[in-house]
Amino acid sequence: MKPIKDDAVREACWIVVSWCVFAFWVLTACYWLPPTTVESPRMILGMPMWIVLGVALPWSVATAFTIWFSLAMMTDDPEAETKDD
Amino acid sequence: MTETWLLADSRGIASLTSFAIYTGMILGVAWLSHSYLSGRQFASEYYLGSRGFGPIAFTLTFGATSASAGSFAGFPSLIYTHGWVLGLWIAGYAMVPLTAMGLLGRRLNRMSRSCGAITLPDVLRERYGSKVSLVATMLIVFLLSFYLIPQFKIASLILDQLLADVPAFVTLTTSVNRVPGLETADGAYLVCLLIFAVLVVFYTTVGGFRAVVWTDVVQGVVMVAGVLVLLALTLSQVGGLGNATRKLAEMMPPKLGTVLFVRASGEGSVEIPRMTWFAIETPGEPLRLLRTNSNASLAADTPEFVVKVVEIMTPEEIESICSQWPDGRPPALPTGIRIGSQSLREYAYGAGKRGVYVNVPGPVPPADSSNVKLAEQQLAMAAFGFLPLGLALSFFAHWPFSTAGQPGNMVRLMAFNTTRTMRRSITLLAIYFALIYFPLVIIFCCARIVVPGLEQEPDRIMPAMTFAVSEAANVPWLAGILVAAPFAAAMSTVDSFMLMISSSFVRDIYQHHFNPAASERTIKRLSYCCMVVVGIVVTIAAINPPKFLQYFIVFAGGGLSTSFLVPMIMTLYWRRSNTPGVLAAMLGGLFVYLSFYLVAFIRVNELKPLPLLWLDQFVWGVIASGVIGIVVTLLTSPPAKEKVDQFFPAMES
Repeated sequence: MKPIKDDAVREACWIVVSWCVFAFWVLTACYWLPPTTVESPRMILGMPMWIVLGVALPWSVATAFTIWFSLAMMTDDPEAETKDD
Repeated sequence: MTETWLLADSRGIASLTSFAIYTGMILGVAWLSHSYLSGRQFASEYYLGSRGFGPIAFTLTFGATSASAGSFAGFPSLIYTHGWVLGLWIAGYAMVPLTAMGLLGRRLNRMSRSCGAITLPDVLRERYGSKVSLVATMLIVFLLSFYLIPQFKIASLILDQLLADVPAFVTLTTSVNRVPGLETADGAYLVCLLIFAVLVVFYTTVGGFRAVVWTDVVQGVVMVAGVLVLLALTLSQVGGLGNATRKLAEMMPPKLGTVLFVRASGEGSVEIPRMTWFAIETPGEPLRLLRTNSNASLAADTPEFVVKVVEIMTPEEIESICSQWPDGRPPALPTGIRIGSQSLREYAYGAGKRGVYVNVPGPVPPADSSNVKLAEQQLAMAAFGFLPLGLALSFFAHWPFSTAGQPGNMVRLMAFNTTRTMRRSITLLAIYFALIYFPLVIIFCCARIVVPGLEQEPDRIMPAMTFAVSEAANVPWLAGILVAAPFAAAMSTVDSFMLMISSSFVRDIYQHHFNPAASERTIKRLSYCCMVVVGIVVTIAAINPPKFLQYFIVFAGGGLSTSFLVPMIMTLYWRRSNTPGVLAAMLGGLFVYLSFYLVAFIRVNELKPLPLLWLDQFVWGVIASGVIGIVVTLLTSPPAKEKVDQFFPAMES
């Protein structure tokens, strides 16, 4: 049986790395994409372009990643016995 | 009295009905969960629900507890004030399900089961002994108390707004002021505080953790349904999101300040309610449009009254607002009232600029403090806008990791029944947060168009918006139901934290330090008494709560995470971790965190810390906690091997 601690460490590493990736994506997109102005209202789906590409899209991808990671990548522990209090 | 009831308008009836239904459901759930207590081991059932919760209950209790009243009062007011940039401010919440559950959940649940722990200090006691456990208990009780008082006040204010139009409530609050000693008290607030306290103390005491989780399920559903209905009504009213964003792009920040109303003639008293539009016209100049943000009452003995006002500065917005009146201008002020001196200030960042509400870093209102040093500090910060890059990074770290470090969330991680439940809950929580937080940003950006001119009272935007859109959609009864969402958020946070404080006293202090052989009957009685006493103490403290509630919430929440995140990671993942190291991490991180508040108090005489290198005090506290914890651990003796082996095999075999 694979050690449970190893699974937890592996999953923690995945989580920290994914946080770094999404932080880089969000901050880069929000501060480097051109602003929305009255003269050139850069919009996607009725929202400023930077909020769609820098917040809404990464949020959606992060949600999809979370679902995939929790259902496909995380493993189940064997049933644990609970010691009496 | 009967006539008064009959005169109740539809909003009042809706509010009362929704509140009555909601209260009935909460009490029913509490009673049902009370029946679970019989025939089960009391402490484990009362404080941890016998670790038997499935994915839906587990998700909603986690989500509802995380979304405190601040999510429905403070957060909407920030969106209203600063615009689309709040999407970036809250973006870190996308990672919360993974960090808050995935990082610690599996190991914490396993470890707590293996040693029979039902509270967080229990886990620490098993690993390090009673010294660490006692320090942890003290920190939880101290910091959670700071957290509870503002929640009680916010919940009472929400309840006040919910019931404000109910005639029976108005009669009751007026009669409170006839009680000797309470003549000058805020009767409505006191009545609401009492209703909230009795309700939440009752159901938490009667039902314990299971009642808290089940009511969280009800409250979680109310919250997400409220947000989605509000989103649909809002988008319909503003003519689509694209239309709203184009209008926001045109907007320039308003001017904020005060206007003196002077009573030049007339008899009797004149009331000018909050949110009254009025114009100032000067020949040859465009019409100036202003809105009151506080009530004015002028009488013979008070011929002058200063009111807070907001002056709209965008010509297109002025034209759009004025188009609602037949003659293209707001109704005149009551006869005999003239406008005296005015004191209006421009925004500290974004004044006169179009597009600040749809771009980073977002506008900043003028400094609102009479404290000169603080105002200078706020002005210096405002030069960079609301959310410069460094602060955005800080918040992207703050939400995921401070949520992971909250003891209230850690207790929930000890309560799931299998890792399969945890994995499914992470999935559901990701969807739940996406359905709440991003729609809130959309709704309250649109609120700038639906309810303009409320910048001096932004905390009122949630109820103001719900009433505005539900009345515009011709379904005024819906407002009562929608306003129940923030009330549910406050309740779901308060009940969890009260239970944690009670468990700290009964389990971690009384049972472990004074009476290890205490009978189940004694623990039961003491738990009930403790819940009631905690409720009474917090209610008394909330009668006259401190100002700046949001700062107390931020202070307590950040302090808890700073104290517990790194020590729990060390406890769960590091065999070498020892008592001095964990104590140093716990207290060292908190000391650095508190130092920011201390420096702020010395510099500007208020508890408003400045970010250092654009990273806030939580980030520095966690970094310090990690460094101090590792250094002290490596400089001191390793823990006894047999003790570690006793603790870790459960994870590794």
